Amino acid sequence: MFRGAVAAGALLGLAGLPIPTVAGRWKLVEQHYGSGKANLASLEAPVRIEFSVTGGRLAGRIWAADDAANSLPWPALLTDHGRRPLDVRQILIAPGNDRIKAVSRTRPSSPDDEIYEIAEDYRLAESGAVLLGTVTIRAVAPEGSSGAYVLHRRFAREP
Amino acid sequence: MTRGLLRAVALLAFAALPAFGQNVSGHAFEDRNGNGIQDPGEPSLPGISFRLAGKLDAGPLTDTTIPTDAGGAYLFSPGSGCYVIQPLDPPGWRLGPSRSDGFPPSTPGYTAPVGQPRFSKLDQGIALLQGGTFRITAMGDSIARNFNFCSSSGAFWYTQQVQSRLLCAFPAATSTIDQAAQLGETTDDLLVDETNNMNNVFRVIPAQPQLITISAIGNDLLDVDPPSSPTQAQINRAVAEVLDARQNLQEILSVLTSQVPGADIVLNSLYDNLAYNCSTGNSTDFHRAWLPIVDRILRDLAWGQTRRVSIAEVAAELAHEDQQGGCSGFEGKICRDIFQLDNIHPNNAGYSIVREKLWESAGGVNLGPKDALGRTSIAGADYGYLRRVRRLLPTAWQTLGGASATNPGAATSDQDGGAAAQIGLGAGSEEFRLSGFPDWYDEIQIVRVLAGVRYRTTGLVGDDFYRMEASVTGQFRPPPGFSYSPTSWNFFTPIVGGGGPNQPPENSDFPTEKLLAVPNVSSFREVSALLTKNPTLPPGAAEYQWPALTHAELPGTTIRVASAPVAGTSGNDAYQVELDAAWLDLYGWEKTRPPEVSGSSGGGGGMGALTVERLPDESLLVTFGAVAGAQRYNLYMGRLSTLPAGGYDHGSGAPAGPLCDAPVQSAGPGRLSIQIPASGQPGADFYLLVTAHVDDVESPAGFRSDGTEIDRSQSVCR
Repeated sequence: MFRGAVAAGALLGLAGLPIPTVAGRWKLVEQHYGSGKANLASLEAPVRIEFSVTGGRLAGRIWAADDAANSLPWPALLTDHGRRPLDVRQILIAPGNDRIKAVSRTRPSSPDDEIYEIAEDYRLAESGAVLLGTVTIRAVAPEGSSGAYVLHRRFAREP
Repeated sequence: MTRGLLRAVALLAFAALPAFGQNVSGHAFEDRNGNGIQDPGEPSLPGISFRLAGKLDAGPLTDTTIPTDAGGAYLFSPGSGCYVIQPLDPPGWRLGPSRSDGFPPSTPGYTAPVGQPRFSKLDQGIALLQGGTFRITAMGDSIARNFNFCSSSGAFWYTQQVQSRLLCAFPAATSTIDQAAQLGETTDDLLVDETNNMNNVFRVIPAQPQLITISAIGNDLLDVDPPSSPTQAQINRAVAEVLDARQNLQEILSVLTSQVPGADIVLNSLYDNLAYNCSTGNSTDFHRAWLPIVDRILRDLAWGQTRRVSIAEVAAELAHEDQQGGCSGFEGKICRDIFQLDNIHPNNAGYSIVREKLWESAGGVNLGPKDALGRTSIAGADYGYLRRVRRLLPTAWQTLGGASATNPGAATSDQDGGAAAQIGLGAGSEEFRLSGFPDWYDEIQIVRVLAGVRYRTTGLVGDDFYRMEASVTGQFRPPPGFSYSPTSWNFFTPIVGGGGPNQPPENSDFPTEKLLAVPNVSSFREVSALLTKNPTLPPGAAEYQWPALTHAELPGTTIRVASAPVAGTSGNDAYQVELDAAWLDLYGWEKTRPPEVSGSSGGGGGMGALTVERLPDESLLVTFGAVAGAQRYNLYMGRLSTLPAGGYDHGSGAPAGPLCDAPVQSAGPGRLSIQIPASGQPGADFYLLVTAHVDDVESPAGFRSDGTEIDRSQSVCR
């Protein structure tokens, strides 16, 4: 992964082109459940994420539709019942800034031992034009994992 | 009237007793079309025992059984409290499906989370709860786990809520919940023998719970979701997965039914916001077309078991729309996650609906403050019944693919003291088929048909398993390259055996899944499944129609036992499936049979009154009394020589004829005649019989001197 990024960077550097990174604004254009092919992404209120990389540190903001003014720090969980507390456990960016991961957790609101873990994993593709990745939502009970489902996502870069 | 007044006075006299008017009421009726609704003309059922047990809020326990009145009505007035209703199935009758019809959102009195009453019952619940221990196993997917991202009430909330209500009704009971369900699990997962979780039948069987709740199939469908404007190959892949899930659920339900005999089972129907709710996702043509089919599959699977499985009618409540409807379904009942990590699961309001439907499926009613709507009276707790009119046995058998069968005819008899056909299986494409189910009971109005088997195994079933299936046409799989459509997919009904590992080929997965949960069966085991056909969708119709089997389809209907070796191998096991019997149970009702055609007008006369006259041209003129309402008459001829031995041969082996829908002429008041030309008469001495069809039911051909009807199979003018 790291080695590949360096090689790609070297090639692009020789050509005098900027090396694409995850930095920038992205719009969710496709979302598939598991191995399904139906696009479940809401195109009426698309999710947007904007990443910036400063000094090797990744920062992101997320919002839906055109409501950038009410963006939230990424990752975030926002439902029509309001914002849900999210315990962000990990945010990683690969050395080439072309791959990012975030792991966060939330609990059902009532007293409950169950935890829902959200693992997002995105990587650049198509010469930096798109961001592909998966979101794995896992239920974790005291006795261990209680299953998971996976969403496959495709973000398109926006100007 | 006087008695009612006296009762009211008595109630008012004791303030501690429940307030007047706190009732639970409903009807028992003959559900002649199996839709769960008492339609006009469907008879009420008097004398059905209804039991209501539970606890009044005021303190005392109650356990009362009353019969339905002459109008099929029952009424309990227990006062505020928590109760469970349990009608007692009359012998020969089976509780019909819960109603699953939709209602426009504007329907007066339609208030979530209760919606419309869609009651079922636990057959063993009251006795087990009164017995003290009530273990609940909640199996399946994220719905069973009560998952969402919208302020979830917690894992297994709705199951816990129903458990709490049951314990409210039976406070002396103790209850636990096996929190087995897992996110993302499919029907295949429930047939994978894992030891690190309980979400499979292999772990549930040894636990022997008293109630098993299941939500499944949603992920099977999501995992094969075709894109918009799908290719036929993508549709085929999705449909193959649906059919695989049907096989899996048949195996799951049948195994739980037989191997956990003390458990009642409840299966959720499948709601689908992708089919019905435009606000939370892109509804797709595929979902709109196939969700009603998937739900019908679930309902049929539940009803077809040897012990009926209840349906929690989640789908009916969460979708008011038909497949051609708009987008005004249950908005607000799905978890709307702005960043789209969910948008699939019910929110808390949606899960409240699931809770209510599970509660109703158990026959649960709360009156007063504990009810979700605070209702003090609940009406419409109706229970429809279907009658098992006749069990049909096959008359023909056949071996295919090199199968061996010893004593094969034993499988065509259910009254031979347990004698069984011994079918050698375990390799290749060995097969044993039974067919030739009688088609002459034309007075039976077939509503539903259960295909059943009773079998055991000898020898050792290793990894080369077997299947049992039924097919209305005898064609069990589509031809290569077949294109599935909503009205053409239903080639077979699974009875024994799930989809198996790496199935379907179009979506190979789950290599460790078991095709059979109980491959070796030492004692006779009964399994059944509802035999179904393709739906139809007439032009302009909003909903699919599900035609019942016809009598004409019975002779060709086939039940088979077939080897199912490890995929890609020819198999090397050698064992016997001992098939005691296979059958079709016809559920429905009966028309009145017309009287025997006789010599006297209106029937009822002796056969001697039927006259035969030879005319100069050697033709015969048969004269008989007209039968009221007859649509057509038939004339049969058989060899006289067969009668002394007690046999008849005027049917398919007749020496001449029969003359079906024979031309008749008036022969005077109340009398008709049929002329048999000389060329149409048998060469040898013969007997003749005349029958009539009234309302498409053929009259008896005649009766022996001992009063028994002569062989109906010979009446072939159907």
